[in-house]
Amino acid sequence: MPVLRQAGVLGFLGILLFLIVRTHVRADDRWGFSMFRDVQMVNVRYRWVDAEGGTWPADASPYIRGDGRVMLPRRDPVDWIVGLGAYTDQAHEICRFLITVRPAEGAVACEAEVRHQRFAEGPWETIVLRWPPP
Amino acid sequence: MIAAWNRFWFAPGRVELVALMRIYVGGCLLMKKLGLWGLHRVDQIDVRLRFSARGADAYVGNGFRDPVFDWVPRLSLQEMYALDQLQLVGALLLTVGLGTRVVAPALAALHLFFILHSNWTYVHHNNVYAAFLVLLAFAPAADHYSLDALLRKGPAPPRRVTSLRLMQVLVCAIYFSTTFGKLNHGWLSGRMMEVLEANDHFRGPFAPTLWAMSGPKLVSHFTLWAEGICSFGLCFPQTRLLAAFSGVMLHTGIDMMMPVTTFSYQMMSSYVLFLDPEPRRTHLCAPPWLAWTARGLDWAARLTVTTGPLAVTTPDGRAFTGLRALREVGLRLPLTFPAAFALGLPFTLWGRNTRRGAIAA
Repeated sequence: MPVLRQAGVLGFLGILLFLIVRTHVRADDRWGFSMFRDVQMVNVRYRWVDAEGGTWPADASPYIRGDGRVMLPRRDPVDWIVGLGAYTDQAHEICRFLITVRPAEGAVACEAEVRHQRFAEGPWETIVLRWPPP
Repeated sequence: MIAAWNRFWFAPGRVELVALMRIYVGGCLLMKKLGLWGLHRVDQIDVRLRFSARGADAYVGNGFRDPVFDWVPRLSLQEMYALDQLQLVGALLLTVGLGTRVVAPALAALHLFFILHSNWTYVHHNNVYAAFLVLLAFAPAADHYSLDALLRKGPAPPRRVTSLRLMQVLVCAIYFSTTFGKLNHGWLSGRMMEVLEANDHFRGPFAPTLWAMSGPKLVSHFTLWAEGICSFGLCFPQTRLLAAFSGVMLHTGIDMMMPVTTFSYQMMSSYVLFLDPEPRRTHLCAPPWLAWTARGLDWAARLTVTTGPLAVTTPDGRAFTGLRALREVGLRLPLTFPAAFALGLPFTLWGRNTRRGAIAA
């Protein structure tokens, strides 16, 4: 039992140390306590949607930086934020901005296709956001 | 060195604080499930059973999942809702302490399953729940303040302080980690807060006033200060009060401005782990009205109260009368300690001067 107790405490401290180091030292963290450190790469594409469900690309380039990161209208680029939550919030806002302020002819909605990669070597995944919501 | 290590981790001791933590963790989880959280939405709160995981559609419905945990069975939304209801029942049982030896591990396993099954892992307060639930699963958390303790025949068995120490280290590690993670340009310049404000992350009726009073730099720097001092200050008696006071101000402020569900309550309730584990070691002799009031507010069982002329004796043998005695009592009661701390600063300074004078003499 004494050995088990020591092993339990050392194991707990080891896991805690691992999580802290992994959160702050490794670039591809996913265990982070910090909400803005969960995603490494984000790329957003925008498209218009018409009443029949047809889509075509929307030009949101004034609001997107050259590296694919999102830049909000009326705002500086938030280049040190690398969190999916922040990006999806902004993608939603850009969609809403485009469809309510500068809608293309025939468009009834705007969609943002948010592609993100959570680990440097991981696969790309996709979330589709829509404004107004379906 | 080895003796000190063993004494710190494995000395025999009281585990009432672990039982209190069980109540707080269960209570916070219950509040989360019932949607009973958030001073920022104080005008919208309706107590109801939320038979759906918060954001389940967003978290689970989009198939967004960590590829490392692909081996975890994929459930439908309805099945996730059912598990969520199960978690609600588990939180209730954990809070009242019924069947804790089974409920605590089951609740921890269920919570970990949620995390492995979805991107809950990206929500920091879910990680905090997971850590505490795992520790409670192995802790003697039902020895006190529980239905299990009421149903048990005889006194609680002797315990070691290991589970208490593990939780204390966990709280400090969380604060250290989050402080370290914020030591970057965004937080030091205040820009982080500007972005949060610009993205409508600050909500509720209090946010405009608080934001106008403070601004991005003050909020950022106070966040760094409070989390930084909590990461080590809770461990030492000299800084514990300041750390807890800063932490309460920080988390109350967050709860008044941001939708972080029960995160603020989780962290504030963890300060109970740093209380003196031996109850009623401070003796208060007071007039009847004050004795009655002190007994009513002494939720953490810090005081032994008798009636008579006002006097306080602290566990380390110091005796106080008059206003100093009132301050010492106020510092030990959950509702009055912030005011007692703030009002006591002049006494502290005066006390130092007196000591210095005595030494000089």
